[in-house]
Amino acid sequence: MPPHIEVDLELCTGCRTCEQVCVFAHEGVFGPVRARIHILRRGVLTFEAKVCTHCAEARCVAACPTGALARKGNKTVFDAGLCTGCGECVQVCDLLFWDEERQQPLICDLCARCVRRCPEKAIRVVK
Amino acid sequence: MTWFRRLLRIDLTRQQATVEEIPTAFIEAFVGGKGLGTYYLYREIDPRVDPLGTENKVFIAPGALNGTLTPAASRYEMVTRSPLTGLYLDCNAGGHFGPELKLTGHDLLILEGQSPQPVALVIEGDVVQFRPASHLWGRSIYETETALRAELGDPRFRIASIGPAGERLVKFACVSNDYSRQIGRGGLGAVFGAKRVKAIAVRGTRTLPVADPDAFMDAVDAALRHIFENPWVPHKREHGTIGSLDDNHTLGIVPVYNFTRSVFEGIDRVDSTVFGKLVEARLACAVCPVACSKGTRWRGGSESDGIEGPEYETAALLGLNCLVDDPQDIIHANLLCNQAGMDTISAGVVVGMVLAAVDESLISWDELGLSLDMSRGEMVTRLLERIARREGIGDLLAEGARAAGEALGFPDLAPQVKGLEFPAYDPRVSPGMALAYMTSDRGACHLRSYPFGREVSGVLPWFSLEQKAEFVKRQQDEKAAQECLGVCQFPYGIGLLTDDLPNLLSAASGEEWSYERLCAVGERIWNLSRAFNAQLGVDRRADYLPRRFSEVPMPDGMGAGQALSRADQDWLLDRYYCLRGWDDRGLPTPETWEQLGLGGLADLPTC
Repeated sequence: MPPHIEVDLELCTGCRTCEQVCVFAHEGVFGPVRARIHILRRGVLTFEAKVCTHCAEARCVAACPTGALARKGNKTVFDAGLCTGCGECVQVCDLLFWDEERQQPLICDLCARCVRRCPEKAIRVVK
Repeated sequence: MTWFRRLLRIDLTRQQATVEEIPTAFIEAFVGGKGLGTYYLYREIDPRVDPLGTENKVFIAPGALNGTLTPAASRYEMVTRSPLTGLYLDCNAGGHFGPELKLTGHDLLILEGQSPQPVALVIEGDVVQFRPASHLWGRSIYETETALRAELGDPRFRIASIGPAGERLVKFACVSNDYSRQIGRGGLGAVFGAKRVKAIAVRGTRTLPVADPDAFMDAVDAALRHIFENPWVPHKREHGTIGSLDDNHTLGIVPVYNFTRSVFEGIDRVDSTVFGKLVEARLACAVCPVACSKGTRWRGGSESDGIEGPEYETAALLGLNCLVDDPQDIIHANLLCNQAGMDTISAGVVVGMVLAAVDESLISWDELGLSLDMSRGEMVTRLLERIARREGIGDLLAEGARAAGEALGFPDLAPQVKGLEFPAYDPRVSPGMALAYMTSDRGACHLRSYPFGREVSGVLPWFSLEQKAEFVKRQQDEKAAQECLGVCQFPYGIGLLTDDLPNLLSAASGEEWSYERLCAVGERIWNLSRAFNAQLGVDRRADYLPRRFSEVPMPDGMGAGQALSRADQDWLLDRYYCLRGWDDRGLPTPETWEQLGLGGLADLPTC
């Protein structure tokens, strides 16, 4: 299995610190609308974590008409310069998110800052 | 920086939304949250408007630090004229709604008028949708939130809604967000119901920069260090607020059977160890490293019958105060309140009051629609259901403890100040809490100041009147400032603003904010709310505890023999008014008004 971020939902409290850390790390501002990881409420006591698993199947790469999304070794990488903003990638996978400001996908780049700042130590990089 | 300086005015009558700029002077004087909400209330409504009429407004304000990484910056405020007390009301809730609202690009949302039909407001950035909600009317909080989020097709929407209690104008109906976090006190749910606002859904489409990102992250790290050094934090992380129930019971302050005593024989069956074993999930509000919320589930119900809680106040008031000693009955009662959308504090007090009144032959089981063969838990849930539906006796109990006590002929049984029911601390056992209840802007409240912790730890002399006025006044100002920032009181030591919060606001805003400057904001708010209430006839006469708390000493427990005489209450009030710069009647003076810089911002009424 390729390296990816994993959230242990037994430990996660749904505080969403990871979302804010992610946006700050990549954009220097706050606002989960541009996060590459999302913790969603599924019920009164339950959550769901959404973040790219860098899966080998990579439907997003297959869907991308310009090669902006590509496989590099074990990772799926994004080249903003090649992206035309068609949005095909987020149609085929719900672990990528749409940046409404830039009209481009947001995909986890495994920077792992969310891992370090999770107050519950619920996030890790699976190697 | 950290503010959008914009307000969104929602005209429900005409179904129109407009954006207005918030002048810099208002932000400097009132910052956000409680401050901005209170100031706009003071500016925009005549205090005498019918709380449930079209003229009343709701001011909804995220805090200045909401939407950032500030630890525990999750709380947003609602301000209005209360249908329960008839006075100033502000109330805040955690969860995730507040930061999401802020990130729609607004520091204040004003609801005015009345929608012709039930409506769900959907706010995505600047786009406001008035969505017909007749199909949601009558549905519970949980059903409403789940259904609306599904309709909107985006799981990132955060939703605040009312349940059947709010629709039926139960005077202590709440607004609930994120399923199980409540704008609990004073009846904001009824104000929503009267305006036919079933729900508000928000999705933040904006990002928020801070002025000095490096300094801001340093301040975040410093705050986190202090939070984890706070000896209170590990206990609350593990046990939640209900962890205080056993100790507070031992200390003799938990109310038992309508605040008539403090020793509960069944405490071992509902203590925090028992509830600890029932916890199925730990939950946190936005960006909170404490996660004091503990999720449990009613075992008599379905998979979806979970609650965050029961919290301390709920377990004490729907439990001990009603002589309920089965944890599942307490969870069930809590769940019913969550689903109907009712404040568990007021509900527990109202129900406890009428149950205890039966023992004094002031009302009969028959009149309550109950019978002696029912368990206590069943009695409580029956009454809660009737209140939520305003059915039979429930119609009267839905008016709150003061009104129900008066109508049923036992006004002095109602534990309340200014019409707001006591939270779960018997004021006879804490002169500090007594003064906090007496002087709270919205009526009896433990969240405006909380001296009890300092009394039992020995920082303040426990059963003495000394130092209480000073402590309460200062903490009220600090906490009001904290409620402008939108941060939770718990991780920061209940209102005591260390350097962390001023530093965070300075780094976020690019302006110099000190402890003193923030306290001055708090003091302005306390003068505005008092001036608002003064126009409704509030003065010293409204600032006393009900008679029985000065005349009937606590019969048992660690506070046995304690009561707070009228003379003691006057002694406390004299000192408190003096520290506030108010006159003998307890009203702000022109000198105080000017000194706080309120002169150019608002008029001091002559009362």
